[in-house]
Amino acid sequence: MEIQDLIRLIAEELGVDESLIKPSAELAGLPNWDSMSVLGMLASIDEKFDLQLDVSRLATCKSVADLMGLVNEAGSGS
Amino acid sequence: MAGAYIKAVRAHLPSVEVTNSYLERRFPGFTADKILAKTGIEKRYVAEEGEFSTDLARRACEKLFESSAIDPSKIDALLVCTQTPETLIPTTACKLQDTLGLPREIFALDYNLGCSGYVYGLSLASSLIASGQAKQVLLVTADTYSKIIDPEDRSVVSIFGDAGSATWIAGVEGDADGISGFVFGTDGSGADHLACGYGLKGRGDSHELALRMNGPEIFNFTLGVVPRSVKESLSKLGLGLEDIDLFVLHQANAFMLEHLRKKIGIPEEKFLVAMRNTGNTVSTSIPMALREAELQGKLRSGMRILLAGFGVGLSWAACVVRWL
Repeated sequence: MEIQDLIRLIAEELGVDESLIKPSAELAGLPNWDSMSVLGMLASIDEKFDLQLDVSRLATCKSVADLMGLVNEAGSGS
Repeated sequence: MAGAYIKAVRAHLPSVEVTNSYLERRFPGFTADKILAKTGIEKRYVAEEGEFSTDLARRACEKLFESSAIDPSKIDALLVCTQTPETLIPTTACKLQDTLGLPREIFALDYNLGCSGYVYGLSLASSLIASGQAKQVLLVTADTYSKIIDPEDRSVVSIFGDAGSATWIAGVEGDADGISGFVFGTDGSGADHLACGYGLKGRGDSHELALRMNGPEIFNFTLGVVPRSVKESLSKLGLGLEDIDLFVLHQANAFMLEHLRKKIGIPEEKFLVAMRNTGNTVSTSIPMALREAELQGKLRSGMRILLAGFGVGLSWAACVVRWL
C-alpha cells in the first residue's frame, strides 16, 4: 500500500477531493474528520488491504504520513 | 434427553423517542443524515427519569405472558442479564419474581454482561434444561445505558438505546439441537475500551464516571473475534455458511455490521440488520432483532439461525438456534 492509496481511501471516506490531501496534512484538520470517519477508514483499510492497525497508537498519528507509518507496520506484521 | 428450544421472544421499548433531528439540534454540525449514514440508526428510545431496567424487563415479560402459550406458574428458572440494575442489591431477578408473581420455588439469577449477554443466557438456559435442573426458563435482558451516558458525548448518545426483552426457553423431549454450537470468549485486557466507572469505587454524577467508548478499539476487536467465532460455531456443528438460514449478530452499528457481513462472506438476504428504529440496545439487540424478523415474516419453522454477541468486557459468544 502506497501513500497515494491511503490518501485516496481517506478522501473517499471524508468525501473530499484527494488532491486536497497532502502527506503532511494534519489528520485532525481534515474536513469531516471525526471518530466515525476513523471507523470508516479502519474498515476500508481492512477491506481493501486486509490490514488491521494498532489503534492504541492512532492518537499518536498527527499527519497522513504518520498514519502511513502505522499502516506499514501493520503490513510488515510488527 | 430434553433439548432446549426458544419458544417465544418479546421485546419492549421505553416511550421517550430520541430522533436524529433532535440530535442535530443538540449537536450543531452533527447532521441527521450523517448520523443515519454512519450508524444506520434513525431513532432510539430512552427510559423516562423514573423508569428503570426493572420496568422494561417487567413490560417485556408481560408482553410474553399475554401473547404466548407460556404458563408463568410453570417457570422454574429466571435469568436476568443487566448492567444497569435499578438497585445494586437485591437482584432484578428477585424483584421480578415478585412483581410477575412467579413461583417461589424458582432458580433466579442476575448476571452482568452486555452485548454478548443474550448468547450467554441461552447457554445457561439450555444447560439448566439439559441437566434436568429446569424445564421452563425465562431469559430476560434489560438495560438503560441512557442513565450512565454523558449527555454531551455524541458518539454514545447517537448509538445506544434502552430496551428490554423476554425469551421463553423450554425443553423438547428427544431433540437436542434447539440451541447448540456455543463458542465463548473473554479478553479483560480490553476492559477500558467500553466502560463505566460508576459503582462502589466511584459514586456521584460526575461525567468522569459516565460510559466511555473507544470506538476504533471496539471496531478492531470485532474484526478479529466475530468472523472467527462464526466460523468456530459452524465448525463445531459440522456446518458451513450455506447451512445457516439467517445470521443475527449483535446490532452494534449498521455500518460495522455491513463490514462484518462482507468480511465473513454472508449473503445480504441472509443477514439481518434491524436497528434503524431502536439503536444499539446492548443485551437486548439480538432478541429485539429476532422479534423484528418474526414480525417481518422472516422466521420459519426449522430454520437455522446463527447468533453472535460481542462487546463490553471484552466478551463475545456465538451459537446456532433451530427455530421451532
